[in-house]
Order: sequence, then C-alpha cells, then structure tokens
Amino acid sequence: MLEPAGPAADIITWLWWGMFAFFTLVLLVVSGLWLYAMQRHPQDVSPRDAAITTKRWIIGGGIALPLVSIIILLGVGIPAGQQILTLPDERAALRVDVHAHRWWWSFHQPDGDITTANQLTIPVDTPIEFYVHSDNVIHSFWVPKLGGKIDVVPGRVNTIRLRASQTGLFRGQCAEFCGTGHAHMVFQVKVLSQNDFALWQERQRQPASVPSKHQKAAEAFTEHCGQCHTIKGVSQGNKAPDLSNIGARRLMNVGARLKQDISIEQWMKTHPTWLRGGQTPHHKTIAPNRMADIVTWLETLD
Amino acid sequence: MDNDPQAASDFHHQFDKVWGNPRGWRAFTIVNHTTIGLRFLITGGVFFLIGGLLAMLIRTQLALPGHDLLTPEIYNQVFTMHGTIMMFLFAVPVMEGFAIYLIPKMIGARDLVFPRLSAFGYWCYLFGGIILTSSLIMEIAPASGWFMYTPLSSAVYAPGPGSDFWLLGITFVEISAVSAGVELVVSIMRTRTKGMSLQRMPLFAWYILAMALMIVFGFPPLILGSILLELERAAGMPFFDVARGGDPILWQHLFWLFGHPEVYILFLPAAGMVSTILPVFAQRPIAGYRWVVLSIITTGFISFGLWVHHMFTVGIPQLAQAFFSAASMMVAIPTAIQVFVWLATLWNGRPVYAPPMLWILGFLIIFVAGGLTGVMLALVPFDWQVHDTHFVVAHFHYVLMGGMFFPLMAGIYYWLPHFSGRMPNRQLARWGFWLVFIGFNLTFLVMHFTGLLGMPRRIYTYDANLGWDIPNMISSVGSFIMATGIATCLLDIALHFRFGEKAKANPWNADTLEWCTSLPPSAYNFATLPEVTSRHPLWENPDLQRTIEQGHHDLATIDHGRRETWGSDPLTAKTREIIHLPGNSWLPFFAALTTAALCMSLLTKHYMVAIVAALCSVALLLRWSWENGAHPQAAPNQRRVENDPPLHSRTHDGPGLWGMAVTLLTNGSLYLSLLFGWLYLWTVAPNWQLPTKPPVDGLALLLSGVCLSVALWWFKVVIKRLRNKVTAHLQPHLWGISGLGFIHLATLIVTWQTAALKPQVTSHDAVITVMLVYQVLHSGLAVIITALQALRVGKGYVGHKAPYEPVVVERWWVYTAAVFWISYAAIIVLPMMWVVP
Repeated sequence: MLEPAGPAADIITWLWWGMFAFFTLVLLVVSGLWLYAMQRHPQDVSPRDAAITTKRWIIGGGIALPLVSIIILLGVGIPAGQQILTLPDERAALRVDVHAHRWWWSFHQPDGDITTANQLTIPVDTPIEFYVHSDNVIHSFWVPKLGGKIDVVPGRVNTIRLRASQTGLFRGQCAEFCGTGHAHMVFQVKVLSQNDFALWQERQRQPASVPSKHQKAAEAFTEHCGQCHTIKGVSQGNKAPDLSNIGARRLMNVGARLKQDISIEQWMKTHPTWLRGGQTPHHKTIAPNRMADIVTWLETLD
Repeated sequence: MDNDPQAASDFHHQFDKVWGNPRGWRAFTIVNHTTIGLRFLITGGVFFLIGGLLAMLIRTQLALPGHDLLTPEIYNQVFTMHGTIMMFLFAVPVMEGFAIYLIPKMIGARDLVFPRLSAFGYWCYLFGGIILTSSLIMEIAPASGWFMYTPLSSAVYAPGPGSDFWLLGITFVEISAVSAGVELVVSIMRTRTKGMSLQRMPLFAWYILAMALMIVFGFPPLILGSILLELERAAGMPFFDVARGGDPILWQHLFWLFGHPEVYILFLPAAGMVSTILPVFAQRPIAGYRWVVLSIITTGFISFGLWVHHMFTVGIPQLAQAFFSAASMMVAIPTAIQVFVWLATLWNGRPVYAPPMLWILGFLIIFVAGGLTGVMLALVPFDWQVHDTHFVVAHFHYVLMGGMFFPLMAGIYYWLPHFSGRMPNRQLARWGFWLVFIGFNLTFLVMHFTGLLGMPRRIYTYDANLGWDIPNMISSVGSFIMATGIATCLLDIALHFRFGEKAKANPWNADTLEWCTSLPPSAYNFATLPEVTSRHPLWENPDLQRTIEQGHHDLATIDHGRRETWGSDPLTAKTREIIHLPGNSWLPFFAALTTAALCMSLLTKHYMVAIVAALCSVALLLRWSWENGAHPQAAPNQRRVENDPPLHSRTHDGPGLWGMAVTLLTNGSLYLSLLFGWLYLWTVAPNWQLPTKPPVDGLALLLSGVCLSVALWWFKVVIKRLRNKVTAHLQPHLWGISGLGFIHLATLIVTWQTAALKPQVTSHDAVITVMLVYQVLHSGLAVIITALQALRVGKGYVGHKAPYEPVVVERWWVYTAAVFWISYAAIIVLPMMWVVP
C-alpha cells in the first residue's frame, strides 16, 4: 500500500501519511508533557490554582484536542471515502465477477465471456467494477496496491470499484481467514495498457482449438484432469481453476514454501501438499510420459 | 480492649471462628472473596503463560518466510487459542479477580454480597478453562479464529469438535463473568460502609461498577450467539446458514455487540487502577473526580454503539459506516479526558518513580499510541485498506497490552504488599519493565509497517520476495525480549514472597480503605466497619487501621456466629439493614462440577448424560437457594444489638432483590439479542422464508398467556398483602399461583409440541422454537420456585417475620410474563400484520 498504483490507494496513502504525522506529534507532546509533569515537583500548589490547571488541561487536552482532530479527520476522510467509491471521470466500467473458492480465485469477465483463475487481467486507467461471490465461507478480495478490500460473503454479492493507474503485475490476496489454505489464497493482477488489453481480449475470444501435435496431450488431460479443470474447447470441469490460459500465468507467490518461479510440472507435483483439507488432486496417477505431454501442451496455452 | 492484647487477640479469634477459611479438602468449600479473588488471579496468571507460549509459537513460525515449524492446521489452532485464552481466560478473569479481591475492602465491606456465587463463578471458570485448553493438548482445538466467524466454524467447514469446544467452553466460562458482574454491581450499590455516598466512592469502584454493568449487558449477545451456533452445529437448526434463511452476518453482529464493549470491559478496570495508583504516588487527590466519573459513564454508553467498525468491509450501507465511524472516534473524548486528568494530577503533585509508576508511564505511551491508531482505523477508507492486516494486530496489541496489561502490572506491584505483606524489589522490577517495554515496541511498532506492506492476518507463512521478512524477524526478536522481561517480573514476584522486605502498615501512604486491613488481610477484612466522611479516609485519619482492629467502629458483635456486613442505601450509603452472608459451602463446587459434566457430555454428544447432569445442577442450585433467609444454615434467630438496623432477611429489601433485578437485566439482554436476531433475519437474510400459514396456534398461546397473567396478578395481590403484614393463607395462595402457572406451562408445551414447526428446515421456525423453549424454561422455573416458596412457608422460613423472598420471586414472574407477551407480539401479531406479497 505504501507504493500505490491506483487512485483509491493513492488517497488512502495520503490519508495515512497525514494522520501519521499529526498523531506522532500528539503522541510525542503527550508523552513529553507526562515526563515533564513527573519531573516538575512544584512547591505547594493551592487548591484554587490546582483547580484552574486541572480545568485547563481537561478542556484543552481532554475535549478540544480530540474534538478538533475528529472534525478535521472526518472533514477530510468522509469526502475522501466518497471519492474512492464514485470515480469522478467515470468511463464505462468493466465488470468482473470474482468467485472465491477454497482456496483459489476465479475471475469472469462477461465482456467476451473470459474466465481466468488466480490471475486477473485488466486494462490500465479504467474503472473496474468487481462483483464478488462465494458459495462457501467468507473471504475478502484485496489488491493492496490498488485500494481497499471487500468481504466475499455467501448469500450476497458485494461490489467494489478499483482502477489501476500503472501497468504491471500486482499481488492480491484473500484477507479474511478462510481455513487451512488461507495463506496461499493469492492471485496476481496483470495490468495491461488499453491496447494490449484489447489484444488480450481478442485472443481470449478466439475459438479454442487444439493443434494436432498436442492432440494426445489434450486427450490425456480430458481423461485425468477434465472432471475438475476447464480448458476452453477441451473440458468443462468446474471444481478447480480454469486452465485455459495457464501458460501465461506466473505461479510465483502461489506455491507453498517455494521461493522462486516454478514450472508447471513442479507445481503439479508439489501443490497437493498445500491443498490438504481441500479435495486433494490425483496427479500422481498420471503416467510420466503422459504427464510430460500434458505439461508441454499446458505451457503453450495463453 | 485498647491496652489489653489478650482481649484483642480473643476478639479476633472469635471473628476467625466465624469467618476463617478451612484447610484440606474443605478448602473447596471456601466462599470468601479474598481467597476467591486470589484464586482468580493465580489461575488467570497460569492461562496468561499458556497464551504467551502460544504467542511465542506464532512469532517463531513467522520469523522466517516459508518456515515450516507449524503446519497450517496447528497454526490455526494456535492463533485461535492464543486469542481465546488471552481474552476469555486471562484478561477478563484477572480483572474480575482484582475486583473481587479489592472491591469489598475498598468500600468497607467484609465480603461480596453473594459469596457462594463468587465461588461458583470461580469453579466454572476453572473447569471451563481446563476443558477448553485440553483441546489444545489433544490437537483438536478450535481453529476458526477467536471470532468464530461462520460458516467457517459451521459443521460443514469445521466438522471436528474444535468449534464445539469453543462454543460450549466459552459459554461455560462466561457464567463466571456474568455472575461476577451481577455480584459486583449489587455489592457496590448495596454494601458500602456508612457514609460512603456515591460521590465519596473510590474511583476504582466507579470503574468496576461500569465494567460490571457492561458485562451484564455485553456478554449475553455472545452467549446467545454461541448457543445458536451450537444448535446449528449439533441440532441442525439454521440461524446462520444462508440456504435455509439464515445469515452469517448475524453472527458477526452478535459477536461484535459483545466484542467491542469487551475492549472497554478490559480497559475500564485497568484505567481504574491507574486512577487509584497515580494519585497515591503524586500524593494528591485526583484532579477532576467528577470528570472521571462522567468519562467512565460516557465510555460505557458509547462502547455499545461502535461494534460495526469491526465490519466496515462486509458491505454495510455508506450512511451506517459514516455513523459508526464518527461514533468510534467520539470514544476518544472520554479517554482523552482521563489522560489529561492524570496529567493534571501529576502536574500539581510531586510524583516518585516507584515500580508501579514505571508501568503506568509505559501504559501511557503505549495506550495513547494504540488509541491514536484506533482513531485512524475508525476512518472508513483507511480501514478498508488495513482491515485484517498486521496493522490491526499491532493496533489492538497496543490497546490491550497498553490499556490492560501495563496497568495490570502496575496494579500487581502496587497491591503486592497486600497479597504478601512484603515489598517488591526495585532493581529486578526495573529490569523487567524495560525488557517488556522495549520488547513490546520492537514487536508491535514494526508490525504496523508489516501491515502497511500488505501482510494479512492469520496466515501461517509468507513468501520471501515480498519485503516482509525483515520486519517479521524484528517482531519475533522483540517478542522474545518481551518474554524475557515477563520472566524477570515473574521471578521478581516469586522471590519477593521469600526475600521481600516486610511491609509496614499502608506502605505507599494510600488513601483508600483496603490499606486499613492487616497485611495480608484476614478473611473478614475489618473487625469493625468504619464510617467514612471523605473520599480519602486514610489521608483524613491515618490511625484508622488501629481503631478498626481495636473494635471502635460498627458491627463489632460476633458471638451470634453470623457473617455480617452493612446493607446501605445505594445513593447516600445510610445503613438500612444488616446483610448476613452465607458461610462456606460445598454447593457451589458441586454445582459447577455438574455443569462441567453437562458441558463435557454435550461435547461428546452423550445427550442422556447431559440431561442427567443438567437436572443435577438445577437440583443443586435449588438446594443452594433453599439455604437462605431464615433457614437454620443462614440466620435462624435475629438477635442483634439494640439500635442496629434489622437483618435483611426480615425486611422487604435485601440484596437478593437487587441480585434478581441485575440478573434479569442480563437475561433481558440475552432475550433482546434473540429478538434482534429474529427481526434482523426477517429483514436482511437473503433467503428468509415465511410460511403461508402461521405454524403456532395463536389462540392456544393466548390462553396460555392469560393463565400466566392471572397468576402474576394473583402473585401481586399476595405481595401487597404481605407488605401490609397480612399473611393469612399465604401457603395455599402460593400453591395456587404455582398451580395456575403449571396450567399455563402445560398449555404452552402442548401448543409448542402440536405446532407445525420444522426447526431444521427454515430459520424462521428455528428462531420460533428457541423463543418457545426460552419461555418454557422461564415459566417452568417460575412454577418451581413458587412451589418452593409455599414449602418454605410451611417450614416457617417465609412469613410475616421473614417476608423477603416472595418479593424476589415476584420479579421473576413479572419478567416471565413480559417476555411472554413480547414473544407473542413477535411471533403471532407481527406476521399477521405482515402483508405477504
């Protein structure tokens, strides 16, 4: 959040630095006064004088100080909040339906009927409206560098509007405790320039087809993986992430205890260790040569 | 007696015979507040160490990225139990322990007003705590967070017994919080010594009064929530399940309706310690007593209007967010007033740096910092960003450690001579303080930053390339420094019991009455009860301890063998009656033991055993109520010194009446929470289903209600006659009322059983079922206790000379009838007015 990449996060960062400066001052002054009062050791103070200083302290420090601070804070904060909610230069917002699963994300863009899992691709400088859904426990959708978070509550659809002002890759993570996989419920936001985004959309809209050299891999995939995973034009499983564009995804940050980028193959071998508690995938039953075929094919999908 | 040591010793020997604590097995029967208070403190200390150990595990796990000391399953249990233990088994009970120990001594009473209840509360706390902690050893501890958000804690997503341990264990422990709350309110209002009018009451008593009232109103929403969630888990009755018409957000409302006041329940007594200790070391009365009292009351009220600020990200309407944001900031004002009152007191005084003052300095810095980050969090857009990150973890540790733990340490050091009769060692105390202070800031100051970097809470591990490693490492190192500091303090306290210098009378030159007892105190606190004429009795009259011991004040007679203390007017503290207190008893211990058996059998789903255990507890509690008033165990004769006021059991106005009133406030808070749930689900739940035909027969229910109301009216007539000393046919009247109540109860049960309710299918029916069961329990108890009253008339324990109890029972009838008609309106009248589209 300290390096914001969107107007909402920008505003919040400014609020933070303002409050930080002012409150640090308050803390230092109050602590300083306290230390001074401990040292002061005045000679006998008459009850009348004592009453006067007491009244001053209470009215000045106890009432005026917090009241004025609160008024300023709300005076700045409430409009700032409004600004975050309704973006002034509103262009046609892009809609993204976010589905929170245990423990992964899927993003569906009705414009073009594009579904991605654990990776969200959006255009820069465009207000995006997120509609968040859960059919399991409560999660929270959060991309720190773009702005605040919104809880994903079963039974209702919450919305949040975010906008990125820079292209690049940003990290998103579930912020509401959702069970054993909570720490790994991470996703990546890929912000593209408007042009690149249009190209990306175009590519995703292409009818899916499997090149002949990967035909065998696709068959193996349908057999072993198709019940759970979707790949456009190949399988329609809905229990696990959509893999239609897996090759374009970076698995970094997703893997448990993995410190750098990993290949799809390594990923398939290791991720059951952190999916415990969920339905453990049966990747081990795949014969090694078929596995290699599948991996080679998956790497080409983007 | 002044100059005759033999006579003085005999005098105290006589008191000891009546008040003294037994040894050996009979120590389980002790009801004395000093002993019970110390037991609370020591038990709380043990739970603190367990909770602290869990914290060390958390910090060790997070010290390095990708660390695999703990699996996520274990880590989730560890952080859930860390929060749960610290809040429910350490912070609340320890503060209650202090209050139980100190309040009677500060207000010049010999014991709390319901001593058996103190003991019962302690045993519930101990057994509940053991049950809850045992789950950790078996590795089946709750793992859904201390906030137990459903559906994560539901039977679907948490199928093991973990959540049941939490829901049942915490509810069990909560009995102790609520009973202490009731008892402290009544004790403070009704047993202050002669002359201690409200405006002369020590500030600590004001703080505890506020805390106790907040417990009375604040805990029931959680108790209700826990009961409903347990019913959903164990009996399949939906309250929070969206598909069947519930709403998981209802749980969050109920939880935070408790959870936010809880913060002030912990902070107020701690601030009370500061307001007590600081003037003593400044050797000046507190500046602005009235301001402080006003702040306490304001804090208490505001704290019930803040709970939604824990839920800014769940999708609450904008306007509501702005309201709760402003309200949350407003609470800064009463807090700031207190801070500046303390500052003004120091400013005009000549304070010294004794160990307690060091901890108070630490408290000030840390708590003010925590308060300021709290104001930041109250700002909605900022909260959207940092909610559920480590920033919040840092914030509430600043508030809770700063606002509760640091003053607690100050309090422990300050009252240490009271517990042991010895003084603490300055050198070690200093080391302990600085290690804790530095370690704490290292751990949690840095954690704000970790949160701002985007690290969410409750994750068991994180990746290395995010810039989170260094701050996490610093936090972990800091936490170990803090642990060393706490160990140093413990060592200091342990050593002082052996090597500490003997304390002289009133070692800190304090102004409040608790320093008039001997050190350590006798079981009866004061041989005679002094009259006070100012807020600072000991500064006014430094000789007070001697004159109390030599029997120069009130209630000096003991040869009647009764444990007595003053019953006084709640405002002016004019003495109204002599309250005679029950002595040691096995009943609280066994009642708590059977309740523990109930809890265990529900946990293991042995429902037949549960029914037996529940019946045993009720029987024991009724037996307990039997040994009251004019019963031979309580006060068979009413011999007293001439001109002394009457014994409370011979009046219409005893502590029991107050006890009943405060208990009904708690009970009412529980019922209102249920009513809130009903209306909330009706208006908000996405899939709320109204049946086409009302499931409960309104006419039969009306008939049942009429019987109840007539019985109540009859009871009121009997009470009126009793007040006019007309007791003819008292027994048949009571039997009649009980009988009519029974007809009402039978009609009610038949109506319920014949109703077309499907409590496992819709929330609608589930809530109605709970309302009906609630009514059956209340009506049933009304019938039983009225029948017991009739029996007591026969035994001569109740009559025109002992008219005290029927007045208390009448309150229960009034409440039962009121609840009945409200429920009637909610489940019969309201749906009739509701136009089904």
